[in-house]
Amino acid sequence: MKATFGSSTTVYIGNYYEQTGSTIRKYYYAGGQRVAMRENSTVYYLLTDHLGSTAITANSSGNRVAELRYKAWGETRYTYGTTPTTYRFTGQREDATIGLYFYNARYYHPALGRFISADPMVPEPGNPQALNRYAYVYNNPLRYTDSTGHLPWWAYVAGVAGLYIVGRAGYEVGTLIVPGADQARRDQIGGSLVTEFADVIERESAARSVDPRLVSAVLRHESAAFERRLLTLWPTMQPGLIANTAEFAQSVLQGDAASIGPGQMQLRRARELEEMGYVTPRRNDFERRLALLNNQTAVEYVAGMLQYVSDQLRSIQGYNDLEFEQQQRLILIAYNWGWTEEFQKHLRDRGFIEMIERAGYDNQTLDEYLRWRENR
Amino acid sequence: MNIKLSAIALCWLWLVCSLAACTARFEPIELTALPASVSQPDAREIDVEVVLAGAENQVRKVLPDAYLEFFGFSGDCRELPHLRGTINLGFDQVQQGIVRQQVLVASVSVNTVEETMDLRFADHSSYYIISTAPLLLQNSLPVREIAVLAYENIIRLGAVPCDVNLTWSGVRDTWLVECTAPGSGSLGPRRCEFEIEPLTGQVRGTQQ
Repeated sequence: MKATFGSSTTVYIGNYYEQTGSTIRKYYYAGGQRVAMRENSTVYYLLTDHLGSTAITANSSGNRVAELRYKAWGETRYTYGTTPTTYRFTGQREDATIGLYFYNARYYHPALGRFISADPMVPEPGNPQALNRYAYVYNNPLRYTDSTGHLPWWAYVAGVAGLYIVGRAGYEVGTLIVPGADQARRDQIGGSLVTEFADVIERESAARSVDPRLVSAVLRHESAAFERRLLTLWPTMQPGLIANTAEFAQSVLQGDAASIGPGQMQLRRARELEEMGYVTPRRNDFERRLALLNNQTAVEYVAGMLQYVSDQLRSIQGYNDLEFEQQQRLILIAYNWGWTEEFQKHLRDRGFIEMIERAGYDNQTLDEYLRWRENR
Repeated sequence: MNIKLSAIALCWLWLVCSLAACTARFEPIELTALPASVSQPDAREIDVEVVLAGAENQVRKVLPDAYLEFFGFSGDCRELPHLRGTINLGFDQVQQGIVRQQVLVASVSVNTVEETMDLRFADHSSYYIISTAPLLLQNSLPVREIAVLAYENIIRLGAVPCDVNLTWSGVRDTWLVECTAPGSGSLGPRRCEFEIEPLTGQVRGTQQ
């Protein structure tokens, strides 16, 4: 690079070499830090402050030959001797002729504390300081430096990550609004889970005399619950580490009431099922949470719960007079409610038929599973 | 940078949790054996309008925007024409949240013999999405006439004595009558099941 001011022309080769007329300067670095320079045959040591600004210049004997001190925004507040380099505030090059610092992409005015041109990017729209595209280091010059004239690289990465996250969340919220999109997501995510664990579902259903279609319907629907999808990095992925970690934390913070795992089962229900012998007992809540979050062991809990509510319903005389499909739908309703006093009261007040017809969600769970199975 | 990304991830989690929990929490309320008016002053017959007005009055103290969603009568089928038994009423109040709607439900049971009322309020939105279509009783013959028609058909079917459950809700377009073995309640062994057209009183789908 070549810079000409008036009659003086300086040639630069990277940050290592520069020549102005017959004066040749070479720079030496250690650990990315400029530590010394040679001007023709004279060696100088360059000592910097916490921002990397050139502060003290010493000769080869270690004696101070020059010193610079700066104000917060880069103006010189103290001078001693003649500093032999133009690399000064924050280690950037000063063009003394025009009184500006060159930060690779833009010129910076130390008296104004501003760049004289706008940053072409706003990589952190959430940071109000970043919206001022003339601002220098978020207006915090005592803490940050800016070697490029742009924000640091991690700010770009964070900005892109932030945009992706907002986009992902928007996509999933959109699936709740666009007709059919929610079911398509459940087909995609829940369907692949049901397909992958078909043998486990068959085995657990057979062991409990439960219709495997009900187990599959619950898993297809619940494993792709909106909150779980929202916490998945890539749209086609099964909810994994992020969703499980969040649900685990939610279960710890909210106690027994939080629904977790691909079966979206409450911890207290899981505990009750274990106590009643419907599923393999776990030693503590930690193991129980892990079992509920694990795709394979969650199948056991779903099948166990369906078996439990089926047993309860079968103990009601009128239930056995219902048609098979009505029985299946009632089992799914009872799965969602849990075998609670409130559920039993509703059932008594409304009767079987009214209860089934009102439960749009649970009917949808089965109907949508049957549609998916037929079409796949 | 790791700190920055971790902070973003935490913000994301917070946003999601906030969206999921942005509807106000509603704790269940249960009130039992409240005194209930079931007939007009100086009248002996049970008046559905009076029962409804009393229930609505109580429900709207907690859920001011609640509307009727379900009407049911259960009891001995011989008492059906007089509506002496339990009148079950369902009220819904639906509030739209950011991500999903919140459905608050009031279930009212009025014992028309003892003239008492039980109420239960609960939030049904988190685990159970239900039909919340309103029930418009004015789109039907008077409940008493429907009850008489139902009883006459039960006699025709030879199902007396029995327990009966007469129901109608916003999700159905007909009254539903279910008879069960006497003393077995609404979920007992079935004796009959049929529907009644609300406007014409026509009986259909008779099944014994």
